[in-house]
Amino acid sequence: MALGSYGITRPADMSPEDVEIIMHYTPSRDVTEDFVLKTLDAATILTPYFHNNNTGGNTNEILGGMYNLTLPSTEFNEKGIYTLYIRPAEIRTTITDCGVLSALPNVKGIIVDLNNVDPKFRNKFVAQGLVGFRVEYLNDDGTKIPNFYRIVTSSFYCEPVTTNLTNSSQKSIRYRYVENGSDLMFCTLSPSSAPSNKPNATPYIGQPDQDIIITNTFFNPITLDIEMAEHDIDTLAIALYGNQTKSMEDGIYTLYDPSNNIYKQYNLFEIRDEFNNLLFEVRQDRGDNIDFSKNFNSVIN
Amino acid sequence: MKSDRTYYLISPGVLSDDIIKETYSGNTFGVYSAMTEILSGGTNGSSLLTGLTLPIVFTQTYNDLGYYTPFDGYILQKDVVNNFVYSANTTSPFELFVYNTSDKEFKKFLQLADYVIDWGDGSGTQSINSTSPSYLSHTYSYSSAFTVTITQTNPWGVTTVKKTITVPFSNITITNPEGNITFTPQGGNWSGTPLSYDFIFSGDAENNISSQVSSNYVSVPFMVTGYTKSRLTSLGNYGTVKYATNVPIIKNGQIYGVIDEINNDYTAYTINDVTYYDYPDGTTLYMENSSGLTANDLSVSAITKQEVLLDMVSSPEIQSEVFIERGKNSAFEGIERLGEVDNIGDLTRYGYGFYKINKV
Repeated sequence: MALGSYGITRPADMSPEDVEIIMHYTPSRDVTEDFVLKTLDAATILTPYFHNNNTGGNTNEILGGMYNLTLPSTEFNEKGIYTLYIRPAEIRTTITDCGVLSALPNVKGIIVDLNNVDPKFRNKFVAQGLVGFRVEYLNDDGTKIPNFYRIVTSSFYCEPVTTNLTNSSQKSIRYRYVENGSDLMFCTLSPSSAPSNKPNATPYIGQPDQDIIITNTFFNPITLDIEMAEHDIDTLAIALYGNQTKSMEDGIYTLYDPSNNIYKQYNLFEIRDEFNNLLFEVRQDRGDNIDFSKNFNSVIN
Repeated sequence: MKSDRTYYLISPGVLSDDIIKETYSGNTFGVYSAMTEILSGGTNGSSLLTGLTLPIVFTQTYNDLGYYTPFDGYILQKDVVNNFVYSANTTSPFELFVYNTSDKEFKKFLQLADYVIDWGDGSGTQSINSTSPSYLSHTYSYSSAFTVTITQTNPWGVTTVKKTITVPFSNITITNPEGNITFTPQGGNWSGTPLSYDFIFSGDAENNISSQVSSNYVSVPFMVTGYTKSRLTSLGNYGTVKYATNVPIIKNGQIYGVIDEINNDYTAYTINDVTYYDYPDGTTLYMENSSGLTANDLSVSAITKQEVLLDMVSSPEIQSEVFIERGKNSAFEGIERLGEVDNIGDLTRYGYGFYKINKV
């Protein structure tokens, strides 16, 4: 019988360095082949919000959950659809060895050499620093093994203990934990023990020299669909419900926003034939050629 | 892992950077620029919207990674018939200490099976029948790698354990920590054929509390205080003077508490090292010093993880932490051997009525 319940969603408070932002751009919804796909620097454009005097926490305490994302002007410089895929940063490295602890041979794990880790991620490779990270595996041809992952359940520095096997040229390498001073990290994974109903079905945890992707699970991936457009409901409302003037002298038709800023200006004129028959009524966008004398206050005063 | 998708539409209607201030005939007003011009009007075609930011929200869906539980196995050296460990120190690097870690009970059972140690330097053999923590020491006369061998002969065969040590001892460098055991059967089809395998190294990492605790406790205790109900009545004495100061109250053979002071302002007393103050208005204040999480609160044990709590066990599995201890008798169920039966009552009860007693 359950004694209570608990939620399983919390505001994330990860560092921007733990984030990877991938930008996808296409100028229109129907252009699907000519797209831009690139990575943006999360550490530069993502900033966490901190508490202030109105939110109850210390000013150096992260608010949690809410971040400010800057859209760099060098990238967001065209109209179109920008899709930002924000996911946990991926640490790419290689399994140095798969082994067991010398004192507890039933504890299996993978060994990662810190020299094969990008320096900016090495701060994660400390005792218990990788707990909860996800490990995904690559094949020899570089493809990723789909729908397959393991979870790191512990990580400690280790060093090898060498033992010669009897009647064999093989060497049995086992590992023992050390406090520090080692470049090797022993990561136990889950699941790594065989089910009791089939004890020889040891779960796969990788193999030496296999490329792996280690990913934090500090937050859930999100997708932002950002559309840079000429119009939205507000601008259409300006055209429909905003103040308007039409100069009878020169036919300049002006639209104003709620603050009476000039939103658009048009030339209104008619086209007639040599018999003075009306052929067209024209509304022509004046673009940048704004007649400032048609500002609203000058017109009505 | 849950993934969220959010849509944003950015147009001149939600921007302020695209409104350029102008003045005409003393009137100040703004003029909108086209989105295309804003987006590409900067240096090298960059956007003029340099301050375009979005507040976004991240959440984490989490699962408990399970808890660590004391290893549900009994960890001990794998073979208890014959084994030893050794130690040395850098202050006397040529001296080796050997501890016979063979099972004492086994030694009791096979009293004739003596242990003999060969130090590996040609100095001859030596008996080592006392077990750990007793030890034998040996001082080597020259630097080399020596194979220390302990041999034990029993009616079934000869077991030898060999471990190679390097002299002088320099530091914690374990060249062959596991050692090797050889058993030579005395009879049967395999008589005289040595069988050997490697021992498993018994010492993994530095397993002591001082290495585990870090800055989780403080050396200078801090005060823990609060309000509670008075416990003064538990310090009452029998007799005419019910409450006396500086008279320790003994319970279960130990000092339970003492009344420190009684005056008009308060009554101060101590129970189990917690100081209490009873005030005339009925409030009671308690004070106690704490050092946080100290080494006394921690115990060392091997840890394993309950994968079943991760929701990652891929097949039905029964995990149990119920242990059955064999050979334990209830305190209320006295059982006597036949040699201990020394009266009629014992004989009547023996074996739950094993003997049929005819009373005449």
